Amino acid sequence: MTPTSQSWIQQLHGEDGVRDIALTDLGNLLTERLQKAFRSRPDLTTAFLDDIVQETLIKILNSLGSFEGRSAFETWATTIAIHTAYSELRKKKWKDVSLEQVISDGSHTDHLSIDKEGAPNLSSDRRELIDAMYQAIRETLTEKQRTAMMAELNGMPLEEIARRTDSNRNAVYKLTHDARMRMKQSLEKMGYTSEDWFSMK
Amino acid sequence: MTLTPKQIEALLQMLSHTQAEELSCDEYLDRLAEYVETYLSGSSLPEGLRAIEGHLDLCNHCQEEFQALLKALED
Repeated sequence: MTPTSQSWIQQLHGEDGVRDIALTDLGNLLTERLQKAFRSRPDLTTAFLDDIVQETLIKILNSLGSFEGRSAFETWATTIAIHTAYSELRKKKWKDVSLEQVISDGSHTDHLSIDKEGAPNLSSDRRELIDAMYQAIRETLTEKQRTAMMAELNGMPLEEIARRTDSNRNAVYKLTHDARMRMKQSLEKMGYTSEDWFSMK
Repeated sequence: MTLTPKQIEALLQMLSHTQAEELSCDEYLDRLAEYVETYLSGSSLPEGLRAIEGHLDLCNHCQEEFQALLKALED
């Protein structure tokens, strides 16, 4: 652990006066870094960033024991701040969207644009591959896996899927990882290797 | 269950990056601070951090957070 990181830990474990000064300094550092990270998001208010910093400081105080010194303390604290900010933004974005809606409606997606025209010009190889994908989905995935996978494909974050299924992010990750593994193995058994997938248009 | 062409493409991308052993988002987050410092220093990645790159190929949300982290740590 670097001397600077050790100093942060000591001060944050210190008596009230020392700890308060350290929390103020750390809060200022995190505010500055969050402003840099979100400078392309003028819609985010100072109040929002202040709330994120406060929430991050509480998380940091509660998890000081898990800091192992494999990075600078400030870097570790910044990863927590960024994750806290994104978790909150995603929570707000998805708060009025049910799992049923996101599965039946692709309009909430960020990174997948929906082609409503379908794909009229597919090769026969590509059509066979798509049929094989549907077969793998039908025959190898559970209902829970199909639901989680469709929600993920429509852009819903794992933590939001977890919130709606009384689960947690890690459990949803395991569910979708198992689904992907089953599908991949099923496709490979049907003779489709990953090298083929992108050559068939 | 009907997949759009874009969803099919995204699913194939995800399947192509899928490995039996891969990091979950929580495991990724645990190693992120160490990874980003190595990444920014330009040093070669130790074996234990290589799985981070696999996770970033697979998870759009963690990739989004990683890009924001890079901006936060800019000088």
